[in-house]
Amino acid sequence: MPVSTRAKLVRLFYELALLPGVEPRLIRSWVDDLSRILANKGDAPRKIDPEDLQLPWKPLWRALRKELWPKKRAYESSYVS
Amino acid sequence: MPLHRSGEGVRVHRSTLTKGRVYILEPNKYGRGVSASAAAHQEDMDVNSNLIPDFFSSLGFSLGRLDKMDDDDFSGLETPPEIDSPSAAQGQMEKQLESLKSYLDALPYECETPEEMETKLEFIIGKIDVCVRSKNWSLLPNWSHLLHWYVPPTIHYATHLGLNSSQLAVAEISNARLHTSQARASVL
Repeated sequence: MPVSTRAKLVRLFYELALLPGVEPRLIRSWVDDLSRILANKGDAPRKIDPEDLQLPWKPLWRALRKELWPKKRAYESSYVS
Repeated sequence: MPLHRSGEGVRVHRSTLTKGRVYILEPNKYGRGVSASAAAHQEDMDVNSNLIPDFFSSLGFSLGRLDKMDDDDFSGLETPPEIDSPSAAQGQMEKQLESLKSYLDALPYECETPEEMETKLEFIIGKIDVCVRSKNWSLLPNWSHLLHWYVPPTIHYATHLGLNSSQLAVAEISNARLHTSQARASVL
């Protein structure tokens, strides 16, 4: 598979995984596809180099931040001194 | 069914022994494993999906954004920079094609040429494009899973099962047949 095609597919699955309102089952499937296309096998050479694909980290970080540190936490007040 | 009498007087089905050996290499076992995990994924669907729009509201993403999305145009994000030395990239590609050709020549069965595989890949990506544009999320995994052709899982499974090289070759043939049947089933 050409590197450009691989990079575009990875980008497509990355954007799909960050879509709102999609079932978690589908997101998991797309992330699996992404890692399968992107990941290396053992000591094999890289399929994509950093100069071939650069994904924006901010959307993923925002999603993870909302998931990891929800604003309305039930026991949040217990941490306030 | 022919029976085999062993030295200790225990009757053993010869076919049972054969089945036991095939059992390890049977690729359908992998398929069953996958469907079992898929059944496990079904349980994840119980998660309340109504929370997701609120969850992603601040992300700046919307379903309409996919309308602008194309395999050739990802203008929403920064495009990957061009490779500085095209000759080096071309030489690397030729080297990969050469190693692929020697690998294909060594296989005990006939394979498609890289050009034919390229055509099939374009067909699959075209279907993925149609599914994404029409937001048909239920049909999209069927086509995206076909991309696994390019990353055959044989090596991982064989290493995990401790198979030797000859067993690996048999498993690879079975895997290729499985992929072909899956592709036919998907196309039909």
